[in-house]
Amino acid sequence: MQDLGRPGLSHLGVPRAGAADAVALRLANALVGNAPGAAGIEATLAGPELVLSHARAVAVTGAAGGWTVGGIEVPLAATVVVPAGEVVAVRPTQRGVRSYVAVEGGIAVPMVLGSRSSDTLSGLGPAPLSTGTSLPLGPAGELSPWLAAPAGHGSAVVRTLPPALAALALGERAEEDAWPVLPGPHLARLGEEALRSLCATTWVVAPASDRTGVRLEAAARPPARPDSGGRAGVGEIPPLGMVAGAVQLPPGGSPIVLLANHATTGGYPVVAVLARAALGRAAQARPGSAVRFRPVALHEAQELLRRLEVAVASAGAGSPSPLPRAGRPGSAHATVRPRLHGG
Amino acid sequence: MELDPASLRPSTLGRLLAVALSRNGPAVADPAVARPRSVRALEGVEDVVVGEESVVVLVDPFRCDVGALEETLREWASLDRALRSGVSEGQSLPGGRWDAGEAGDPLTVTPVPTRYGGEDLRSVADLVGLSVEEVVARHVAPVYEVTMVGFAPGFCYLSGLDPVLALPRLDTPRPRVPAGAVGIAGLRSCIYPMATPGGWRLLGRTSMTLWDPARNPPARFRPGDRLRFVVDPT
Repeated sequence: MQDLGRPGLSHLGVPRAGAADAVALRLANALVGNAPGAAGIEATLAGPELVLSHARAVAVTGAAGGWTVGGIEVPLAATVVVPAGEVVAVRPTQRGVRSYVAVEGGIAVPMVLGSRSSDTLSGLGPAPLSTGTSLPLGPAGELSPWLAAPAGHGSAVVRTLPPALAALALGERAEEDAWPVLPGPHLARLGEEALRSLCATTWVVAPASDRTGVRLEAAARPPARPDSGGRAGVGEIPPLGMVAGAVQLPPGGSPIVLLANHATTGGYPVVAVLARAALGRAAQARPGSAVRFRPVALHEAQELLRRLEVAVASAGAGSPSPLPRAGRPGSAHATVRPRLHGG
Repeated sequence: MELDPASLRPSTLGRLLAVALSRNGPAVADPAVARPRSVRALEGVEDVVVGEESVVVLVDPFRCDVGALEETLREWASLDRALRSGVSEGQSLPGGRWDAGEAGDPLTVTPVPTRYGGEDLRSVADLVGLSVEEVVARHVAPVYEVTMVGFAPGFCYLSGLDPVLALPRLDTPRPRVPAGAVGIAGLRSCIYPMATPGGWRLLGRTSMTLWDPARNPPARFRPGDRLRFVVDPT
């Protein structure tokens, strides 16, 4: 379960956590009328199945390979009214890594330190979902006349995103494009060559990647040499505050791009920092896929982020809070279904 | 700390804005300067992470006035210099105090029972040219001080390691280190409060609980606390 995490607690060692692809979660929330930071489900590779106790709007974004309501195929990155009792089945991802399911009203488990995020590094917040878990839902928002669509007669698609925004919500970015990076704070120590080498190498996403970071290995490199015992030299730095997108360079030479659930500090030098606009893309990098970096100037990174934020805001994901509404039961919940088949 | 203007590198949108690297040893000699509310209170500042020789300020790039932030960091650095020169010894620094209860207790030395036999104990002994028993003896000898809590909730960076045991981190960090693992890297030792990724060389493991969200405060140790490792024979 993820929202936008626990910012501001790094000095206690508490990771920010939150959705790894925050843009995908924000757009899913926008589609169902939630505040951008409402809690939704982040599914990694797998596809969850849910049943709702009351009719609610549901949206699925991220890397999901499609989804069905009551066995009927419905579109991704769209507002779909799901009747009570129908099975919502999200298919496993095929391109990226993480799918997001937002339910109107948001998932309303108790907050820990101001967030409902499952912190997969330190165990704060709700445990990962398992079959049979019943999730309380917040009050439904007053979305619009769309949701007055009659319930109980199958699902109804009431809104889709314009193609450009849908592509953003589904992580369909130009996969060939290199990831934009800014020079890191330790470049002077590592030498400019370190950044050139980072950008000249084709990297492959390693299977050990998780919500703390994307671990990369050189596509063409001799097998890892034995641990040098430290006599190799590049070494480490006094522990330093870290940030999502930081590209750490351990002495072994295999970079790690930190993601949302990274540790608050680290001791490996930071050779580069991924432009914030590309964080979602890094979160969707599938193990085995190729990655390249390209250096950008600060103004270019700022422009990428500005354009991204303008696009997300145009979908309504910038709205401050859901509108209160009466008339729907407060006992609504979603139940995680047993998986009927593998995958 | 010395605030080197060249190290004030606006490094990414939004998050890592400023890294002030110390040129004169540990930056945070006194906890009085470790949590400047003056920085934290600035518009657009999300977090201030004080490292042993650095401060990283995380900002919202669309809300933060970078000029005002730099100005505040420079004031902070000059306060720190004044403090180190002894001029401001004991003086209250406006906006610079730790929150009440965050400073540690320097008078008590807490024993941390540790079972030695960690994954890297043998390789550490080989790398420094000592027997395993000698490595353990040198690790339990000093009194350590918690210099910083970070990395993960309740994770303690400890100064005081015998320099004979100084080794860099592993070239490639482990994806998972068990809770309670006691490690060394550089001139520091550490205790992992929970299972996390980690690159320190593991000597042993303690059963002590370092992080308990149900406890107040949830972290067992705070910066300034002192501890000693004790061989747990079980």
